Amino acid sequence: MAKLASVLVVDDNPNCLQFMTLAFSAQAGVHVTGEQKPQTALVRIRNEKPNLVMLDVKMPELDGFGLLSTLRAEGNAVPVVMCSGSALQKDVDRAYISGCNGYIEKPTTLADYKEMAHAVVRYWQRTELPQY
Amino acid sequence: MTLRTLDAYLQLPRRRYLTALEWHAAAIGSIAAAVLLGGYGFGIEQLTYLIPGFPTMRLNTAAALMALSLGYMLTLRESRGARYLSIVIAAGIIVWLAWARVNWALTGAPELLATLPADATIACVMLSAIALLLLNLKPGRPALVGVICVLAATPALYRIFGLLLFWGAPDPASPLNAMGLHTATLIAWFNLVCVALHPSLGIGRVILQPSLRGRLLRRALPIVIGLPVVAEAASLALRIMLGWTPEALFALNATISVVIGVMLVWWLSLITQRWQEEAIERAEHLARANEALEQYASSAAHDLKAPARHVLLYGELLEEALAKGDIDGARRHARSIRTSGLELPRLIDGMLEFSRSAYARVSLSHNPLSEIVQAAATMHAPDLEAAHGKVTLESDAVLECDSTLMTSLFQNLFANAIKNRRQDRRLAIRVSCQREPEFWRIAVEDNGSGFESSFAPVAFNPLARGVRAAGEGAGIGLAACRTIVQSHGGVIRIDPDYRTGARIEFTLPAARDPKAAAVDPEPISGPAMAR
Repeated sequence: MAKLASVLVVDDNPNCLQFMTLAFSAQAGVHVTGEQKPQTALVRIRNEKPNLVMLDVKMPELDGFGLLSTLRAEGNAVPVVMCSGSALQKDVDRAYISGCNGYIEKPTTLADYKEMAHAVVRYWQRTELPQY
Repeated sequence: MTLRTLDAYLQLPRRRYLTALEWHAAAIGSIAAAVLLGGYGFGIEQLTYLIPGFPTMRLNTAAALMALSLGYMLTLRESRGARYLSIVIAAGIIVWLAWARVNWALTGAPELLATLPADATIACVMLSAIALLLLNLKPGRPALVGVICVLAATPALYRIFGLLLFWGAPDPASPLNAMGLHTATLIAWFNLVCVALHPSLGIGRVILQPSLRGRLLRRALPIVIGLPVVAEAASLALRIMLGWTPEALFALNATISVVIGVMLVWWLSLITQRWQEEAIERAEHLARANEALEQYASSAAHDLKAPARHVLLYGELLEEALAKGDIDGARRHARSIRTSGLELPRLIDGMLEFSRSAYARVSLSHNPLSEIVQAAATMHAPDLEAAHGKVTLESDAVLECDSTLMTSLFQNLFANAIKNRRQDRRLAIRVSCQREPEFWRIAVEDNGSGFESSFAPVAFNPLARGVRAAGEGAGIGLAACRTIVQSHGGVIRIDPDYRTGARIEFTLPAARDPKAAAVDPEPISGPAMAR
């Protein structure tokens, strides 16, 4: 079972990116990197092959759904957890249809951010990570 | 009274409508009193000999009509006491007339006859009083009141038409002939106007409601009522002047009925179709607005939450920094709180601007494109000045559009061009207009940084922002442009193949008025334009 070692956070908002990166940095044994531009993120996922992608939904140029669909169309099975400011049911449905592995609403406290990161890391450390 | 005036009259606010009904009732009572006094005081009963069927009004008839008028006015009051009084008056009329008739039948005293109304009048007035009673006691039974109201008005109408059309009566032996013209008129007036249009009755509500049904009834009823009267009058004239036989008159009336009936139905169908089209147009407008709002709500939920969340999170970081004595960190986090807080009013302003464009009703008029472009450019004069910018209009046209909304559209497009200008060149905005068979194609080009090709499909979604424009604007301008163009029946798009800047083009349906065709292009100049 491969261990979750690298996480790529994709979010166009620098503040969100900072909080998400902070939260995952606090998890032992996990290397976190961030990316603001979705197009660049796509290239980085192909090249760097992170163990997990935390993907924002609403981004300019290419939104999370578009990025995820592109990845899945290429046969890329990287685990993707989508995170968004609002968890409207239709967005959640669309995310799972696009092929995401999880969907979370962005927390509003630092403690919740850390709790969320901990839960995500713990889950993926117990789960068989796909090889791609 | 034209149909429009009738409509306006019938759509009076409730208070004024009730006052109008009160005036009708007061007029009926006053006329009854005047005829009575005139008859007895000034000997107008002599009219009996000049105009057949025009005797002066008898005391009991006049008193009953005045009481009916008073009782009706009381039904229009909200108070329970007034309603009870109205019931007493109506019951009093019924009992009094019944007693008077029975008393005369039993005693046959000639002095009673002088004040006793004719049998037909007694029947009509008693039915009117029953209608008044039911208005108070059973306002939820409009059908019953309606039937009684029609029963009361029919003999009166028969008498009126008989007197007017046949100068006497169609049947001299009819007992209805004893009813005076003024009495019949007042009874018909009371029943067909006051009772039928009483606010507690369904018929009044249906006719007066602003719905399709009400509007149709208001147009059709006057024709349906007036047409037979006119046809009868014409028949009478033909009979008297040209000696037409009853068979010929019957054939003529039947022919006229068929022709006019078909024309009436055709006319009503056209009106209905026009209203249906209006309703469809409104429904489409509403559906568009709802769709835009739903889309916007989804985006707003996301975008409005972000700054609020950041304020909370940076607040926590600020507390942590202060607890550690990290003043620099605290200052940094405080600055972040302020920056995040500033996002909110900008988003809210954008939300208001967008909702205004989504729900605005389009008021079409013919406007020269040059005037609209000039107005929009003038709004941005200081920014254009600062950017050494120039707005050029290549070809002018007279557009059928809402000038306020269209100016707002150009303002948004110019604001985009100014925001996305390149620093290494002077901003040049070019507006062109081209006539296609069915519509105008209008393009706004600039020489700025343009849009990313992948942004084009989502550019008009509310709160969508291009990467190159990140950090500026709320992502509302283009969304508002789309709602404005859609509300005019056009479409808007970004030209993805335009490489030297941005090119946004939209269509507007061509003016239906041939006078609003293209005009010769002429150079436009002004303080904010071609400099």
